Amino acid sequence: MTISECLDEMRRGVPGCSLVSFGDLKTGLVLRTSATRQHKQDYLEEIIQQGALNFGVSDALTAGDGRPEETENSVIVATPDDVRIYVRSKESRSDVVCCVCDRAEAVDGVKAYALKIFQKVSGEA
Amino acid sequence: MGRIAKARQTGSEETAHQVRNALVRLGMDRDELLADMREKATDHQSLLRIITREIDEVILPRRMALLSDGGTEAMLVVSNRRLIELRTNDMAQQKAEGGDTEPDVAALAHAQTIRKIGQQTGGTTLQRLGRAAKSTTSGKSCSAARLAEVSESLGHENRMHGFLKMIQPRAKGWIMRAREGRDVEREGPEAVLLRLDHVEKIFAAHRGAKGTLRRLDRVGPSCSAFALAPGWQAIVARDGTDSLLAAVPNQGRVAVMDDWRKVFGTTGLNATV
Repeated sequence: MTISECLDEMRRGVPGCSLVSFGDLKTGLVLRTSATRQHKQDYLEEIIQQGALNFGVSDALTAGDGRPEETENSVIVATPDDVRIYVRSKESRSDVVCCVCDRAEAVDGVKAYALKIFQKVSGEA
Repeated sequence: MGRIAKARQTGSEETAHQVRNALVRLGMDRDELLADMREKATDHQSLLRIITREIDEVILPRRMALLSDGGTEAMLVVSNRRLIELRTNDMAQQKAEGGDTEPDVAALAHAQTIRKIGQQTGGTTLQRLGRAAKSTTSGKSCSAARLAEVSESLGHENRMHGFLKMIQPRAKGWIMRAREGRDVEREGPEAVLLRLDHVEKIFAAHRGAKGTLRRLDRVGPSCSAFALAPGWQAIVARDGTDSLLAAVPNQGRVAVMDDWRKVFGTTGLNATV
């Protein structure tokens, strides 16, 4: 299964999901996307950058705690129209999966799918 | 032969927009115009729109009534494109209108009244009752534009306060900033509040460094949840210049996001409330 196929599977598996993307938090680039309709690249990248901003603030806050492994590797951003769930890789903290759906409760499902994608990226699966 | 005035540049896009809308209404045929004048407001926003449109078009003093199925909800006097008077049977409102009131205070009182009527009644129409005796403007009056501005901020403030009320039982601490930071409320242990202050500072620094989020910043209200400390999440809700920062346990964040969507959402959860 390719990364794109994993993203397609995730989009179909997460209830209310309209867009899934895999990107890089450091550069803000979207590397793969699966969506119910076409989106402009600018829009996709801004969504990733929104995740990067929130992870950046969280990292700056928790840096002094000395226990980064205990902090959550997910961010949720709600807008009036959708819910964006970001999960980043624990191993490669720049890798991120973003899911645009309609319920924050999808977070556990998104984490499970994201783990599969990160394993695929690192060549384990 | 009639004289035609020379066209002048108004210099204001808003005025040009108002003039254009008035001309469009003037150009309507009779039935269309009557239907437009009898428009029924179904919520407070449409009621406000009908009232502000009328205020903007009235120069000579006019009396009007807000009518619903339950009878007369309020009486208005409008003159010189200002709302001069808004009377209801509500004693508190009458008190707010009395005395030498500042225009902003009057606008706030009128906006609250209109909001209340719009929320409590299913359908309200504005009926024109003819000339009014009262023709002077006073400190109690306000313009349509000011009324609309105050109503909008009132809505935002209410929404954010509504959200705060919902999450308060789960929050260990919170900081609310309203009216462009002029009103700040905070509650919780000092250590938590210091941490939340830190969140705001880091956010400001990150936003300054990244110039790429301008469009997302403009798109409207949002709410983020991310790790604040082991076991704790920071909730950062923004609506224009208003913000609410809170600390909630990890297991409470999904419920908090659902609460936010109930208040601010346009689809999904809010539709079921």
